[in-house]
Amino acid sequence: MIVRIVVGGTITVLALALAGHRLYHLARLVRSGVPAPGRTSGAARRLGAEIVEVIGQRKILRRRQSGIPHALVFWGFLILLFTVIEAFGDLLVSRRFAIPLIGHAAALGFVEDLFTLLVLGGVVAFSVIRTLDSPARRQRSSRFYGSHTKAAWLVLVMIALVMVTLLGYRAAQVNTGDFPYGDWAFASHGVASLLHPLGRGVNSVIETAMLLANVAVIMSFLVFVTYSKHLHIFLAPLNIAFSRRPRALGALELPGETTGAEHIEQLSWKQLLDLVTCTECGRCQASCPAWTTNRPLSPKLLVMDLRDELFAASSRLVGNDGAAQPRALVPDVVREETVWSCTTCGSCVEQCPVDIEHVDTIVHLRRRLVEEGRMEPAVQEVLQRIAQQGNSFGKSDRMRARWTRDLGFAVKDARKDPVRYLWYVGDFASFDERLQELSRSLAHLLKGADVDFGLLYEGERNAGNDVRRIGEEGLFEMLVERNLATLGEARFEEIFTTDPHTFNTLRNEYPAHGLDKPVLHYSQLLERLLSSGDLVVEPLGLRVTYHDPCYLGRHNRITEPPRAVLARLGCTLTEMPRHGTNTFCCGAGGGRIWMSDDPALGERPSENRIREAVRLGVDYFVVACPKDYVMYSDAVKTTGNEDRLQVVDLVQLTERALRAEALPEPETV
Amino acid sequence: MRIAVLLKQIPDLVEDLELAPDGTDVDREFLAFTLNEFDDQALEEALCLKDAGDAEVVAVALEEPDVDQCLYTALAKGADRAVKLTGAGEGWIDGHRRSAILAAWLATAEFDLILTGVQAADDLDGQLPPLLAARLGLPHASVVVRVELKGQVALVRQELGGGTVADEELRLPAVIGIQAARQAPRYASISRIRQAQQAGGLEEVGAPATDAGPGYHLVRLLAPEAAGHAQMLGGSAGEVAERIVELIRAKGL
Repeated sequence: MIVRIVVGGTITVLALALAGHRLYHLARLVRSGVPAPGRTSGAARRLGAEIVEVIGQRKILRRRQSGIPHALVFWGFLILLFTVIEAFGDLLVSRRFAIPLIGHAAALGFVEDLFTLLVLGGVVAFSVIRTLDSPARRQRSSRFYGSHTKAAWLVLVMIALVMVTLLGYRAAQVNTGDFPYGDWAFASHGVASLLHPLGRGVNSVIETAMLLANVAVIMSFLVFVTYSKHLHIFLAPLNIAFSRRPRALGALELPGETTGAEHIEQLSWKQLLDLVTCTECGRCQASCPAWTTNRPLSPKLLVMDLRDELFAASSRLVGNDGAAQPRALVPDVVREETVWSCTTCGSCVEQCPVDIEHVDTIVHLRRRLVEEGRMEPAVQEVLQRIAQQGNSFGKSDRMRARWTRDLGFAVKDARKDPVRYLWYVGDFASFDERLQELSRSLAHLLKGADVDFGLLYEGERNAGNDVRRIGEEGLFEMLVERNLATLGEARFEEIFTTDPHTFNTLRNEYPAHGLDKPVLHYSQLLERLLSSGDLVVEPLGLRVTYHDPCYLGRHNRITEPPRAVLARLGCTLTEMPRHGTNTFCCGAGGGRIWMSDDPALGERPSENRIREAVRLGVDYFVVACPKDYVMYSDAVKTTGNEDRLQVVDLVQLTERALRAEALPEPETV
Repeated sequence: MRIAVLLKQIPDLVEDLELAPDGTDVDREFLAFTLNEFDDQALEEALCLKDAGDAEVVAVALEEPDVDQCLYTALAKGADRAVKLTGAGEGWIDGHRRSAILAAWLATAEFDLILTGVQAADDLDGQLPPLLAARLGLPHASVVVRVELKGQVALVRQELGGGTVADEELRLPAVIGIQAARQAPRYASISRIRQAQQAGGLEEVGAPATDAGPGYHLVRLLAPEAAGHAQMLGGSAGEVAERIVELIRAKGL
């Protein structure tokens, strides 16, 4: 007993001291970040997230293959906390230790044994996954590319050792008569029957050795965890608790400092907590439109690089090395082209099981670059055009509503006549010739359905969604002021937009500046008109797939209305593998539509998407976003799929169903 | 080293230009104004000189529509001072009068180098730099694409016809008309421009009264005539091909 107490106690005290020291250091590092307001409000919602995401493993279970083993291991860890109590009881109190009240319950013994085996099964599953998806072999297409794989294997070995030593000492306890559970602890009794022939004396030695080994492995695991990416065991619940709710999508985080972060200490404590919480699982990387098409951005590697910088800067942040020269986050830690490769589609945020807020951090890095004027000339031009002319096309204000000229009827000016719906058309649908046609179609549809709608005419300006995501916060604020002043002159009940990006900022960001009217996307309006009977259509009987725009489907969870419209139009919808909130970006978001793309990089996100759709064997690729219409119309051509798949907008389909006329052959010009 | 950069606001050409009722000016009431792009190049070259060495950059402009925004942008980009010459009059100020006013003011201050755009879209005559140089009695070079300072000498690269370039030396002080800066004009974020606005610092000086001397008298402005527009051919490849053949035949090509 003395040996057990001395050896076990020493190991434990040493490990707790090491881990505690490390955790204290990490806490100081994280707390050195700038304030992150609003991270503790809404306790009920945060508690809910904790239950659903941590206890319920909701996000991680979306990927079944790795999600189920993870959930088993996680729940196993919770259950097996009882065995840790038992181990210390056996070590420090008595060989016959049992947890008071429940310590002899058959059910507990059974569950402990069951999860010991399930965790072992989980470790086997993880090993298979890591072997099949090995970055050494699969390179960039492995989600573990760039992750610390050796540490991950070590963790798997440690977990396996914890289980093996646990079973070993429990089995030996059965044979020494010290085991608190009966037959229901089936695994312990099973292994015990194997050890039984060795005799009681040997079993007693095995019990001590295995128990000490069990505690030693647990304790070294504890220390190792605090020094590795496996820290998520402790930090994931914290990060999830402080994450933006309901999710870090839609509106951008309001920057404390509008000019962005130049050095690591200008990130908020939540952004720093994100960094140390990352478990390098690579779900973000595997779904990132930039990474999957060979662009120089992986959200995971970006987080890891920033984390490396956080650790490298620790002596400056919390030590006494205040004079150390800080490194510029861009380009010393993260490359400039990496920061600009992001489409802000939010897939990384959507996928991240520990609720890291990648997009907010990337935009914050961009803000600094914009402040210093470090951007592509094309982006600079667009920002100057938007600042000067109020639109990204650099056209005169007075040209904005020119597309209405050929309508054959006058659209109301909402600044002069009150309307039910104010149509916020947006730059692309107003100025791009291909899209003006769609705007006219929608206008005719609305007119036909007797909808009372109007425009802001030359008073409308770029709403600023992409301006803000480029990182030009000052210009965004200027646009908001101008637009709110114009909206203040107009009389309307609801706004609807053509562009999901415009929709996103009006719906999620303008209210903070005073907009208090409901905002709809035109797909929602169409659904409303179809279900109310204001629009009467005949079934088209087409085989289609639908592409969820990132800023509609993922950022704003509007996935049903466009599908309801398709159903009413009598279209047979076949879903692409990536759909709904899990949609794949066309590559145009976050200002990318204005940036150059190196053709040497190969397949673009939009082409990747079109190939995904072509495999379904449908005839039409339905979009509900002007940028998508442009991007995918190009991509069907560049991938040579013009005769297989036609890109159509929801408006075009509705118009055709209304007239019940045959669709023209796909254009071949 | 003190560098003056002369800036001029001109109508934003994205707007359709319409003539004022008296026919001697564009209708300024509904036009948006923007910085002459060549002046933006001159400012950039001045700021590059400042970045490369020890120089003070002073942005100077006459009081014209939206000129405050233009001067604050210059401050946000890194100009040390911004001077607005007020009361020079409304409407179009031609090169003769402009050069007289600017020369009178420049003569009151010490400058080593005076940069401005080689020309501006509202007159396209490129007269401002040479007129200024003549009035101030200084050396001059125009259509310059690079300026380097070496003591009291400016080394300039001037574009000539046929793609030839000339490297020249000018004794300072000198007046230089800039065609292009060594790099694209930098970006001033709106937050920086707003900071400059909040900090104030725009120096307002009455424009000196001057006699512009002999020049021309504008009789009449003529609006641009609509030129032929491109025609887009729609339809299938076959239809388009037929139309093209028809057009070629009709034109007798």
